[in-house]
Amino acid sequence: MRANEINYAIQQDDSIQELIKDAFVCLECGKCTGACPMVELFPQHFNPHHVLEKLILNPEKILEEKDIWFCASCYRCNKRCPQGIELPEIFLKLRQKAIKEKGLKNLEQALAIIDEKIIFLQSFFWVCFHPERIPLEKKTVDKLFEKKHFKKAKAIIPQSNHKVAIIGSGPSGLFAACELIYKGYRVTIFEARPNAGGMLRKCIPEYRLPTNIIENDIKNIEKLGIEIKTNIKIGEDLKFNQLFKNGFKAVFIASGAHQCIKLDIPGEDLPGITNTLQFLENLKNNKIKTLPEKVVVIGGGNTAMDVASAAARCGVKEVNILYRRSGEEIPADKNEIREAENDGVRIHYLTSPGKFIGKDRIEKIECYKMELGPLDFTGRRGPIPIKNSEFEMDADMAIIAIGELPSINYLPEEVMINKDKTIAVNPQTMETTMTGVFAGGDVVYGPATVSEAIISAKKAAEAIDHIFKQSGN
Amino acid sequence: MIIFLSKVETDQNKKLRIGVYICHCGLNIAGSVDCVAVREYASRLPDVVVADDNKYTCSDPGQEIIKQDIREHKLNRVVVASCTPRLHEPTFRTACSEAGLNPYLFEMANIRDQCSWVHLYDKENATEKAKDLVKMAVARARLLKQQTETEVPIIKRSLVLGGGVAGIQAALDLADQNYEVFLVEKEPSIGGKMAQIDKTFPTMDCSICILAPKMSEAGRHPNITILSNSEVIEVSGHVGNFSVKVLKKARYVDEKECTACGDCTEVCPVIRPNEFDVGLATRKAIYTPFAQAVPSAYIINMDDCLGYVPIACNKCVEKCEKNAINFDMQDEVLELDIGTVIVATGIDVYDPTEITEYGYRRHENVISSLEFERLINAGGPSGGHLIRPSDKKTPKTVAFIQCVGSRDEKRGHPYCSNVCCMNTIKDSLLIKEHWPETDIKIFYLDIRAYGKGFEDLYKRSRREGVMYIRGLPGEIRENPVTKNLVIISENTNTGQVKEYEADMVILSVGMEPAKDSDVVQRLFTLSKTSDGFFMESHPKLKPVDAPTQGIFFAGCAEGPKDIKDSVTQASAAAARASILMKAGKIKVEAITSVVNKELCTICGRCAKVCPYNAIEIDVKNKIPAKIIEAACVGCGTCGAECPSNAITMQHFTDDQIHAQIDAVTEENADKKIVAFCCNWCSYAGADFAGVSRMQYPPSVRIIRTMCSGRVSEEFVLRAFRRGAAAVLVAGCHLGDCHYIDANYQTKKRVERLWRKLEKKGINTERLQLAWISAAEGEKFASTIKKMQKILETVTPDEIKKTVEALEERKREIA
Repeated sequence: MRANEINYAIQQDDSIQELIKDAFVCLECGKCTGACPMVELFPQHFNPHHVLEKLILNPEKILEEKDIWFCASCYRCNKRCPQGIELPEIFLKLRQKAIKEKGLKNLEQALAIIDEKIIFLQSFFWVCFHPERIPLEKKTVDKLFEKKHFKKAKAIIPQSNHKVAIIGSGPSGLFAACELIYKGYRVTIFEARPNAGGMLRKCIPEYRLPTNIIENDIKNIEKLGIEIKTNIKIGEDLKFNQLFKNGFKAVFIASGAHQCIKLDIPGEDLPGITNTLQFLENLKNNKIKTLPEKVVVIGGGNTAMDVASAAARCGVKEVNILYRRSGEEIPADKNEIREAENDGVRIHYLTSPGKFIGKDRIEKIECYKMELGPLDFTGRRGPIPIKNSEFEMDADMAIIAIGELPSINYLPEEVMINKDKTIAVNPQTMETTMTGVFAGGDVVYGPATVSEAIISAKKAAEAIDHIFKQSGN
Repeated sequence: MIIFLSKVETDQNKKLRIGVYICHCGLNIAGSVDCVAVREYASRLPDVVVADDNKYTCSDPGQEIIKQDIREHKLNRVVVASCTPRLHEPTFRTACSEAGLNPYLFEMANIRDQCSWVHLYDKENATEKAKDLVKMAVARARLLKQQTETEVPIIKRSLVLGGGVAGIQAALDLADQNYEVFLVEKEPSIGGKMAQIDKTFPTMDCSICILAPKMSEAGRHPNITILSNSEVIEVSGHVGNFSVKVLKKARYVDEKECTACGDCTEVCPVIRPNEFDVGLATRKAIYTPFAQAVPSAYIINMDDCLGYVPIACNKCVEKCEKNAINFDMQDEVLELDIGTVIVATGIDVYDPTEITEYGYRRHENVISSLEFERLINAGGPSGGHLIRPSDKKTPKTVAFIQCVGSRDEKRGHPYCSNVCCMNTIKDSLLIKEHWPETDIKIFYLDIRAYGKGFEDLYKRSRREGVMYIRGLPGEIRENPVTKNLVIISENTNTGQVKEYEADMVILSVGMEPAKDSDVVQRLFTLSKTSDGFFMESHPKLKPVDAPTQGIFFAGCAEGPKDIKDSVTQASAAAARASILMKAGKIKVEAITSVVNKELCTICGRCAKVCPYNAIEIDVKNKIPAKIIEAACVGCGTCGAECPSNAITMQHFTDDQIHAQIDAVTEENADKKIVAFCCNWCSYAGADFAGVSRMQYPPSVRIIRTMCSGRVSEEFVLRAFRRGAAAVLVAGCHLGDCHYIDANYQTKKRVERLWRKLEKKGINTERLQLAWISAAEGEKFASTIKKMQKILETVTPDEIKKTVEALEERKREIA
């Protein structure tokens, strides 16, 4: 599937007045800024609510400013905004309008700035900036990156003898590696899988991130002098404590969240029932031979939407999503839900599976209708099954998409683990409870976005640098 | 001009002489309605002998003109076209009676709240609509009859619901005027939220020190009966004569015998979290919530107690020297006859768990402001020592976060809770007073220090070195080892994002309506504004009156407020209640039903639908229906249900409403929506849309009935027969009906009508049913917008067919 086949773009809305209306209700509380990973990376260049102010003051000029090209669509601002302003949507609409009316100049300016901090700029751009939503065609994007002024990877000769081990080669690991090598340390990445790239490589659908882009980015990273050792699983091929014995002075854990949570209901082991990561990986590697007809996805997060969309796009006739709470509580971003629905996916709210039915293979799912009870520990209203509301839904494939947990059983006891199976870290240094061991990305936050992964890697790299400098070279 | 009215026979058998007065209301009406044109139009309506327009008809000179005209021109009907009758109908009725005209011969056209204000930018159509509204009012006025109001006595006894500071104050004020007061409190002690707070702002008085004397005064006042651990379970009757059932739950300790010595608590083996200390400390199964509790008697929580079977425990019984403990005590239901009610049900505190980025309940040292009050209170779990939960150490850096769950459209509540800013300022000074080295940061959105002495306190806090950072944090993270917190926030004054470390974070949480206020709402048929607090009769001029007569509000039940405002409002409510009780009697509107025995076919349907059991009928023995006037409150449901037109609902007769329908549908009926709105909810909702200037299409013409249950099938069918494009029936939400459950009959009737229309091949979408509360102006506006879309799809041909089909049906029935 190629990007230009897909019309993911949201409807073009020429009325900038509508956006200004939204901007006027901003109370300037600053929650957006305080929660924004891109502000943390580019504090000099980006402040979401200042963009709203600029939009009100001069709606024409804002289209020429680079400010609108920093949002990485993580929706953390929107989730916190007391006025419910949909900042990522506003940015998207401004981008559409800017491209149409003013061309690519301000995007190039912004990319030049982002490029200084993020070496895997192309992958980052594809994953976080969603060119398919604007839409920008792949060749336009490629041309954008051909321009010379983007940083070319050059080998760096480490000035320090300190060695840092990084577990995992996803965005967090890669980013930490680059930061550390720029600071003059020797970096080795250990990757359990045959290819580097983590989730970017494994599960992001081709139309969101073409494989050659990530491969290219990883090549650049390797050119810097970072050693990526693939097919080495820490805990099996190499014990965790062995790292220190092998001369590494610090370890950064960035092994991600790859363990899919199970539903724990009858029939879950039937063939035809899979999980998100497995499904996306198979899809990406063309391993799905016979296409199912009726797919049911269970869950309401972005991953569930992604999986459902991906299934619909590869030709599955009927894709249903079961979500046990209502549309109010659904954690997926509005954009993702809209895109899934545009792809013909049906979302069944307040519906939960009770058991999977089938002889040799899944045939049906017994479902319950739910109602919302009082607030539970997550601060959301807890779903309660309605008595005698069972009904059956046909399915020849079910994909469980209720979240992923970090696999961290290889870690020594000194590393404290939170109740939700994430690693407990000092939020300022990302240091774990074990001296010299740091962690970042999904192992700390649970499934999160690329920009959040990058921030944690940046903090960890700075903390490691600080420790090394204190201890002397 | 078309003469629209058939000949009218009046009860006076006199020639009709109508005076019509069009009010400009300054520019409120004249700004978007051509009042002169409306006056000219009115002057040409039948039987109108005087038509005038006036800048302010409600002013003294304005009323004087009406009075003069009544005398000079011998007017026997008066129509004023101005604001909503819910505001000035009593004013003009009084003016009429002062000039010798029966007040029931007065009629009002609402051309402001339901016309000029909602069609601000469409003068042409607004003027046309105003003309129509005046025409409807004149049509109805012609058929009005004089009525005599009856007087009912008022029982000189008051019920105060809720024993917080507002309830206590109201009870004391009434009791001091020699009225008997029942103070009902659901908790074991009166005192409310104020008893939990450490100090009060801006004076920094000790909260319980100033409250406790009032509590004990209420406790020993000869005119006050405190019913603690009690709930109201049933209410009937009306102003002056409410009959209230109160469930007094068993306390298992004799209030009179218990000396509160506390011996029982010492031996009780059961330990539970103490609700009064928001779970920060423990209590036993037999306990008193706090030292100053009134009534000062212990209570056993039977869910916790082991001693129900004496062999199991029985330790407290053995220990009690006064033999005050009695496991056989039963719940009691008290039946009280009450004249006036004061609702002082207060608030609950917002639970900030859903604001996940702040980690309340996940991070140990993130606490709510109420928890902080208990922590810093000398009577609290830490004896007044400021400690943080994780390690019981005194925090060196403390951060407050404002507006948690307040001013938030998505999570929590959209309104400002009024007190949190000052509460935090006070808390910051309390910390500084005892631990001056503490580093305090306050993250705020706006500091609202609006009251007397508030600004001084704010400045004092700044002088003491409290740091105010304008910006709300985006995230709070916990250090797993130290349990310190990292707050990531922008300082919006500088645009800089920083990480701030704090040992403890206090979330300044807002107020929300008390959880059981829904029950109270249903019991007393009250309304709520969109924020969930009770709606007052008028936000400016009747701020403590409920729309239901004889019920008043005190304290936070009506909206978030501080202690001073609560006490002020409580005294106001007591004064309002006292005015009624002092008079000893009240005139009730002469809106009741009467039965024409000759027409009655003794089918019994009226008695079945009457929510008040106010109709006596004996179907078996063929004794026709009879209305018990004292019990009838005038919803009119019986009149709508009667198949033989034997029931006349006075002042809202079939003839009067038919005349209004006919007036609407005489011209351009195919471009109009005929709306029947109940007086209490949907008509008030339409008014609210006006007050809020919510614009909607000018095609709607509202006919007011007391209850949507009054809307008979014939009203709707008549509108369609006369070519109306669409009809709306709107009432209170199911369960909120001011006439107990009369609107369920509305629902049934409209559903029946839909089926009938469908049979006749008429698009059922043209008849809409909507439940719109008095606070849902937005919903009214959107309903009309939605109906306008339906209206636009209705073709003249469709209307013609409808008219034919319904005429045919009418002939069939005849």
